[in-house]
Amino acid sequence: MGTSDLSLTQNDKSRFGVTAERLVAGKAPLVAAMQPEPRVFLPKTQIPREEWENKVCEIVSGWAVRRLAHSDGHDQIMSVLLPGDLFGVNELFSGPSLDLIETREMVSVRSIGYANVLSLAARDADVAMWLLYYVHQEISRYDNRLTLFARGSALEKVAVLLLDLHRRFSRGRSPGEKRVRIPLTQQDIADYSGLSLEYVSRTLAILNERGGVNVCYGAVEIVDPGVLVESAPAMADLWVDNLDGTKPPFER
Amino acid sequence: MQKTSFTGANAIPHPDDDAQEIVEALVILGGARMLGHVRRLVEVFRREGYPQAAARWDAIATIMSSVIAEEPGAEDLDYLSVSRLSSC
Repeated sequence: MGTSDLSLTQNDKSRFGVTAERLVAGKAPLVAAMQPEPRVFLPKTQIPREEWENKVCEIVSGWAVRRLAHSDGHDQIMSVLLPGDLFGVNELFSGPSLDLIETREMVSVRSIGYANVLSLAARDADVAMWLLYYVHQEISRYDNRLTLFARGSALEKVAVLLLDLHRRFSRGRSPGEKRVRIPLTQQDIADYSGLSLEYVSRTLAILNERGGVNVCYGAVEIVDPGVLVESAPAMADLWVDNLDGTKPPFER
Repeated sequence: MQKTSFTGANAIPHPDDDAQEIVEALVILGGARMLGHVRRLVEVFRREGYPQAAARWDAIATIMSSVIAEEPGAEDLDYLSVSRLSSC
C-alpha cells in the first residue's frame, strides 16, 4: 500500500481537501509514536514474527515481501513492501495472518504496538479514519490483483505488477527518477503474478526487447514505465491510483 | 458523482459535531464496504476495552448505514474516489 509521503496539488485539495488532510493528520501520530530507532534485518532473511505480530510496522528502508506458504508446497507472494509502506493494519481488524515477511534487501522497520494504536485511535478520530482508509485500500488493491489475475494475459500481469511497483516507489520522490530497480527475482515475480517461471522469463524478454526493462541478477530494472503501460493499456488504466486521477510522469 | 445529502432525512441525530464530517468522508471513501470496516473497528474497540470509542463509532456506523440505505448510489462511491487517495 501507499507510501508515507503525500503531496497535495491545488486540484487535490479542492476535490478531497478536508478528507485528504484528515487522513494525513491521522497517519502522523501513528508514525510519530513508533519506536525512534528502526530494527534492521539482513537481506534474504525472514523478519521474526515477534518483531511484527500485534504491531503496525513501517518499512523505513529496503524492500520486503509477504509470502504465504500453502500446504501443497506452493508459495505465493501476497504483497511487496516498499519503503514507506505499513503493514499489520489489516491484522488489527481481522486477526493474525499466516504470512511470512522476507527481506529482499537490507530492511529497517519501526513499529508501534496494537495497544498504542488503539489508544490513539480511540482518542483521535483522524487516526481511526486513517486505519479504516488503509484497510479499505488494501482490499481494493487485492481486488485489482484479482481482476488482473482473472482477465490479464501473462504480459499484462507482469507489466502491470511492475508498473504498480514503479508508481508506488516513485510516489513522493523526485520526478526525475525514471529508472527503478526492483529487487525481486524472476521466481519472486512468478510467485507474485501466479505465472510459471518460464512465462515470467519469456514475458520479461519481451518487455526488454521493447525497451521497458533490464533483467539483472536478482533484480529487474524498470527503464521506461511508458513501455509497461503500452504493453497493458486497459489494465494500467485500472491501476491509476494517484490522488487527482492523472497518469504519473513518464507514462503520458 | 452523485452527492450524498446529509440534511433532512439524513440529518445526524448525534451530539458528536464531528460525526457528520466523518460519515461524509467515509461514505465518499468507501461506501458500503467502508461500513463493514467501521463495524469491525467497533468490535475491536469493544474487545480491547475502549467502550466509549466503541459507542462513538457504533453511532457513526448507524448513521452511515442509514445514509447508504437512503442514497441508492452511495454503495457505488467507493470505486470513484478511494483509489485516488492512495498516497496517504
